[in-house]
Amino acid sequence: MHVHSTTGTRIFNLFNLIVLTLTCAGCLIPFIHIVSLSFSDKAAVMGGLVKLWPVHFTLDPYRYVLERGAFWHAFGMTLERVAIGATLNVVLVIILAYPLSKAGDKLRMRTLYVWIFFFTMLFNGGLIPNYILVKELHLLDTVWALVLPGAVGVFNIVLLLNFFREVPAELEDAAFIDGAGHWRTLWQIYVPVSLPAIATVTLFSIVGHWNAWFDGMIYMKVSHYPLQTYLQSIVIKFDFNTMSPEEAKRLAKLNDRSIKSAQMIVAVIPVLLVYPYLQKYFVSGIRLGSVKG
Amino acid sequence: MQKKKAAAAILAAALILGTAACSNGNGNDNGTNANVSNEPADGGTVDIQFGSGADPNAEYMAKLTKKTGETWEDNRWTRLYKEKLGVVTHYKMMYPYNDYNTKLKLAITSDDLPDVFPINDKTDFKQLAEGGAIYEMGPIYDKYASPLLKSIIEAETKSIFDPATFGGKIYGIPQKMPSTNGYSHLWIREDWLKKLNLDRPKTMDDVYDIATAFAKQDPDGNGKADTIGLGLNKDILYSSRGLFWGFGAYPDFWTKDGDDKAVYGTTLDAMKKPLDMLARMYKDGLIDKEFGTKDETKEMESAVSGKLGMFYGPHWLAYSVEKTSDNDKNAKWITIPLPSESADVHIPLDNATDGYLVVSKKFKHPELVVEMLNVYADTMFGDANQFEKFWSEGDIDSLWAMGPVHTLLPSLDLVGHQDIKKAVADNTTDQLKGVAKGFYKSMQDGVTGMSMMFGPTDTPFAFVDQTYPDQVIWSAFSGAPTQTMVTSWSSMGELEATTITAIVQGKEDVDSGFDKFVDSWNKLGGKQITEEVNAPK
Repeated sequence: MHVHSTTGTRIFNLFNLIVLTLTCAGCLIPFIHIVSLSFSDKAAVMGGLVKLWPVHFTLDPYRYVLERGAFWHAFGMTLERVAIGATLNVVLVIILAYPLSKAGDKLRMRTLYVWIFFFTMLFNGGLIPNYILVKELHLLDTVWALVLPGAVGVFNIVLLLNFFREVPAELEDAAFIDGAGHWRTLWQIYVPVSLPAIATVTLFSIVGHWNAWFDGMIYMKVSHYPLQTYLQSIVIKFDFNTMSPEEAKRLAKLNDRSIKSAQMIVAVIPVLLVYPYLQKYFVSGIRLGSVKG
Repeated sequence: MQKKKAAAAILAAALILGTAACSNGNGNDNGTNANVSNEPADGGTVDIQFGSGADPNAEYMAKLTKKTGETWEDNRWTRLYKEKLGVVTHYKMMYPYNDYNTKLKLAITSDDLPDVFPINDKTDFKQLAEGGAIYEMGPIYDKYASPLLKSIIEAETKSIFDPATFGGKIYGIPQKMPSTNGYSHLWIREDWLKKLNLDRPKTMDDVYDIATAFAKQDPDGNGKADTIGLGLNKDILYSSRGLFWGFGAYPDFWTKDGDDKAVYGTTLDAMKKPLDMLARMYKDGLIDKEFGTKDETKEMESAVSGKLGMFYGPHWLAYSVEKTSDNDKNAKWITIPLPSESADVHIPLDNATDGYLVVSKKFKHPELVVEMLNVYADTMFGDANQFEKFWSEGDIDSLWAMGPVHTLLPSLDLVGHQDIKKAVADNTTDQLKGVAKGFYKSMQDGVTGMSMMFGPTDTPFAFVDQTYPDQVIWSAFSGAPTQTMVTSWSSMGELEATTITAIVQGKEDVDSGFDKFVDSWNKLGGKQITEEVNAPK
């Protein structure tokens, strides 16, 4: 295909390039700043001298993080919740999206089921009832308190449901003629051809679990805080309106931004690693998802 | 196909492992809960579930555990309470300060309170007291508190019980802290003063002139006009309290007027002079033009990078400014007595506490809390005290706060300074005792911040020594938020902060802008609140 490069498209391209570069810089610069802080000497950080490059390079913040037991406990907790939570999310999404993707004549009262799920997207009991529910189920301070309340991701179901609908009906028909039931059709036909969508859902779910902090604070004891909850408790803002002078004094003494930055960076690394790994599935999934003539 | 099966097996395994791991956690918890008996047999023990706003991950505890094996639930304090009173310490709720307040609200709504816990939030306090969930502690305190404990808690004023009083009854026991933490000091670069041949400021005009010199005469000698005369951040009324005090203005504070009526300091005419001074300083470029968007951390960046010559702030900012010498080796920060227009400056203070201890009605022995505090007071400040053992362990100086309850002598920090000053003068520093011994040791170990706070001269506590408690004005109102405060106080605070900032930035005229502010403040609910505050309790 030949691209016509008129003045108009050139201006558009230039404009596009500038906007995208700025957006990109807007995302990257704060990140680079935190990286620089984490490698800088305390005095330089407190003096606000660190911009985009470390000043008085040091590895001390990372040495400190390595020895900080609480950080690694929280890290382990998050790994556990991601492993259990993301697995559970993806399995439930797949087995729910499959029947809901069928037309109304194959699944009776389909609309009702859809509305039941959709309803939970719009309304929820609120913080206190949720808390009481989790408490009465004796889930408090267990990994299940972090995993079960959000186990069914309705948004992800809608995503996958729409993808399943795009799967040609011929594939399903062929499977049924060969004697497969719904279960086998789902796992051996639908899932393999839907890998791109499933990879997306997995990614959402992993990142969601990795970043969640509020439920950790509400449901867990400090010794079982997941990583992000732990991080928010150390990166806390000074708010003198709600803080006694005693507390302000204690925090001022502990305030060390290079150590906080180092912990944030270490916490980001696993997620950064997951992205390229899942990318592989996007590509192969697209290749698989075709009807061969 | 084989692959898929393997994957399914792994998923299943992961789920089962997860279940197993979690049920372990559960088992432990049930174990501790099951032990709670609440009944002290003769010579037996009582389990108490405490709440605490301490950070379980606190570094000082990790250090102590490494050194002596002590933990939050088993340390010299908890052992002491067990030995003396048979109290076995458990923590049902232990969260860092901000999380603690959130969790406490959840515990209140789900009826899952610890037996004994501190309260910081006055609204929660009111709700618990009026809902009948906690004991009335007044009579218990009167009956069980030792004279020593009473002397510590009531050392400053008896109004310390006001925030815990609802309907004329006292519901909580304050954990007393040194109120001297509420001081605002003038921090100044002594090396810049010397370099520019300036005298230390005594009046507010001196402050203005020195700020001008610091901003215009290139005190850092780099040939650029990049220095700031006076530090300021967006919380003007909090961070620069000392400047207002120099003019006899007491913003963000309930003070008494001529008729002994409580009035809100920010709305009094005395505010005009200091605001006028700040507005002129802003116009003359003596203040950071961007102060309106900077918080204290940002303000301290200017100080630590060696661009700032003067600022008002609490004594513990020494821990920030001590780093200035890493960036500018000549830097020397000192504090000086607050400059003021009149001969003696007054210091408005709140009675400082580290929360109020309350007891859930589900617990049968509310008197134990008072008895624990008796033991605490005896151990730390009694005639046969073991202060040093219970105050710190080597460089871990937070040991006093590692028990489930604590209460400190209000003059503790000040006494530390006085003893050090005397010992340095008499050359008897090797005989220091108590808190001074610990302070002095840190100073000798090179903790610059400690010397800057508690050293003999030019330090915050040298000024506290001159003025405390004779020149202190105690807050005229410290009770729970009144009805109108609950609904309107936050929007009134918003108005207060934006107007004051606008006046300093010259967007509003000092005189007419301020009068207009007082007017709208009163209309927003200020008038009503002032009446409620002055209503007989």
